[in-house]
Amino acid sequence: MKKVLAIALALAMIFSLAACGGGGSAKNEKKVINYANGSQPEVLDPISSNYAKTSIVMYNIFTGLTHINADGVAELAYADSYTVSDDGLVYTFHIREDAKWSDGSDLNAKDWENGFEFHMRPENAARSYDLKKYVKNAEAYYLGECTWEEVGFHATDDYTLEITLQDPCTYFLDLCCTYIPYKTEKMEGNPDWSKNPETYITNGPFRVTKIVDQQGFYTEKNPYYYNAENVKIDEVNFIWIDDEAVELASYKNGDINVSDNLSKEADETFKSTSEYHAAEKIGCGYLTCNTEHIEKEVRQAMAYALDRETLIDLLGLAYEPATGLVPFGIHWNGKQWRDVANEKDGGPLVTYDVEKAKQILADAGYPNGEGLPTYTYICKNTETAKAQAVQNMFAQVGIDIKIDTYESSVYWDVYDTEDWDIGDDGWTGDYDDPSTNLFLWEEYREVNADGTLKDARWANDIAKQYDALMKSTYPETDNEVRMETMREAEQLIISDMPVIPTFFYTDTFLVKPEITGVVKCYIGHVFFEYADIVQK
Amino acid sequence: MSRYIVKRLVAAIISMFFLITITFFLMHAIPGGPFSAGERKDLNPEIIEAIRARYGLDQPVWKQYLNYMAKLLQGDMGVSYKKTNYTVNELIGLGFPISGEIGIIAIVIALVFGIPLGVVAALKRGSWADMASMIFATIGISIPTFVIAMLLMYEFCMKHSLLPTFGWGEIRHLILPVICMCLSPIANITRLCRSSMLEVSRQDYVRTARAKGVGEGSVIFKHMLRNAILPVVTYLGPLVAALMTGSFAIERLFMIPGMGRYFVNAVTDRDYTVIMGLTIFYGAFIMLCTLLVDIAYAFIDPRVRFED
Repeated sequence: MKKVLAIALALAMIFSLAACGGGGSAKNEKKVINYANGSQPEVLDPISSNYAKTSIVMYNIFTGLTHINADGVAELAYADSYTVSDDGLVYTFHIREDAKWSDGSDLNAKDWENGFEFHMRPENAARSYDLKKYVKNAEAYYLGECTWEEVGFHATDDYTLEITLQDPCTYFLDLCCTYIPYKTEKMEGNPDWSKNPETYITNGPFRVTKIVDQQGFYTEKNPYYYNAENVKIDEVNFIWIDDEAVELASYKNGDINVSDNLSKEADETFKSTSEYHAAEKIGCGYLTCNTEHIEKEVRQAMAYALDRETLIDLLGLAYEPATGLVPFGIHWNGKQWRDVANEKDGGPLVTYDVEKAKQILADAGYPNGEGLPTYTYICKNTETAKAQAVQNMFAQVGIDIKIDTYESSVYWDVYDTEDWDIGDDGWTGDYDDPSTNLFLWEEYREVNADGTLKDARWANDIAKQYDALMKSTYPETDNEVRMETMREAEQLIISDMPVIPTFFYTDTFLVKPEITGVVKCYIGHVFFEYADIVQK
Repeated sequence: MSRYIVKRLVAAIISMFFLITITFFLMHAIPGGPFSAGERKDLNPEIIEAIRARYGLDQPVWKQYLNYMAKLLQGDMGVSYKKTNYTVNELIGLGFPISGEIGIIAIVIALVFGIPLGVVAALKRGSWADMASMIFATIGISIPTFVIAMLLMYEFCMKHSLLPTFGWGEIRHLILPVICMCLSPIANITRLCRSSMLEVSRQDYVRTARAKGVGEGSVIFKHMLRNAILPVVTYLGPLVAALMTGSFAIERLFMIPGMGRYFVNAVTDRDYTVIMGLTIFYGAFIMLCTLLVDIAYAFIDPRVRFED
């Protein structure tokens, strides 16, 4: 019996080998994108996660009031017009009257309201919540402190949606990309809705056909999408590949045709080819200093001692050296915010200058670092190489650090203990405005869960001035004044250096030459709505 | 016999209790948790507390333990903290059939190749066949499976594009993972089988059988192999459990949506409920396999009798 089975198996293997040898080159008339971006995100619904990986899937199957266009900027989508009140607080959107769900049913303003209510309902404990808090009383509703009627998000008729904001927001149309409708009839009382394509109803360029946990999320063109006639791709498959080396192998042999999680080897192999794409991403890496432990002059010396160009080369990254805390990809009147600010500031705020670092230390009474303690530097175990390079660079000016590394799931808990001197950190923003990065150092961030203030972080007089400056930008409706205020805030924080900027992030990915029109926006999200496959 | 089985089952339940309790507290003792504030700078501390409270993580560990045990007794292993739309029972339901399928095929192949190789090596001791199978066995044991996996992937997927690098559902997706999974068991079975065959061949009853004029085939299969197979059967218990619950490395490399990958990801994510659920499942499965092996002894080995 066993023998028979073995022979059958061996034969099956041989036949299937032969089959793939011969059949691999057959042309399929369907235009299929197989996209990989590392391992599977934990949750694949728009409520429970807002990690970039999930968002990439979500914004290909859902479309908001606005969406990212082929040039990578936000424009109206399901809203075909809007008005803003004079105080900048009330946005009235008109929803497309021909709008449909992916199952063909009508999609109206009430669906937007129901979706938002569902999202913010306390018992749903939405983890993607940050961009929703702009709406008046949304946060209070989430915390169970007010009724839905008090929240500023209501459909006034089938095609009119009125959104009232907490504060004026000049970049609100950017945020509206994330304000998507939910078909709540399929979701109420059905916690499994997001596992079944039949209940996973969407309104984006693609719709769900199959969900296989740990393997892939399969979608096809949504014929009911308002712009369906311009969508060229028939199927987009999001494939989960845990290992970078395997992702590279799959890209090379053609099993996937867009690869978004590149290993160093992939970077080196493809860097000089047309398949390699680099897009700016509004993120910045930095080292957070425990300002209770490290005095201002030492922090400044550390900032000057970092040779960011060399660091990037050593680590084989495609990043840019950070010259401040607001990265490239954020705009000021259509120009790069960073360039405008650098010009106004008379040069970059952050530079590499070993001599200056030594001078500052000597003036502060620590010539060649004498008298300084050894500082504890913490990072994830995947960032060890960077930590060692930083250690060498600091050692050149006489500052000694000790490196402690942690597993990524542990790292943020260690970080929270504040039992360290320097913590490796970084942040990628959510919308095209400097506040998406600069809000991180406002005072409310320094509060423990029990309401007490965290004592080790940045909380001196300059921090209070910074907080006041940032807060003054929220009610401000004149964009120029806001931008100037935030430039001032950035100068202020850099002068005190509670965080040492390291890199501006760049996003790199590979696309097979026959695929055109893959859009990657400033947050790092990928859109296949404008893509096409052209056989050459 | 039935009293023996009942005794073993009681012992298994006690072991399971200790396994669950120790894992639970060890898991909570290691630093890190499923919801950390530092990672989510965009959330207010209040919001993070609200999320933690929803999953009962705001309560003291002993209370969480009691809650967990109470639910477990009803067969509910809870909801995954990371894949919040899946229960642990569902994840096991998804992953186990896949890991199990690869495992069973690998075990069958390992037996089909391992036993004959071992027998031939023992009978032709010192010959080229013996040397060849021993070299193969040594290589099979000493090279880690992930190295073999990478080499095979390079050769068959990258260089020649004969096989896919990932996927599940077709026979071609099975080939490389099964080869990787069965190499080391084949090697082990070959070695076990060879040494026990050699030992048996020196036994008096084999000599007696030959002296009585029993045919060589009958001597090998009826008298030698039946006794020589016992170490292999012993080895089979833990092997079946290990192969059928999925290999961490192989499932990760070939993107097989099985149990092994769930386990690795759950540990790095501190997905407490999934870690617990898979540990319990694995523990129960390995106990079941060893019990079955012990029962199988009664049928294979005429010397073993369970006292009533």
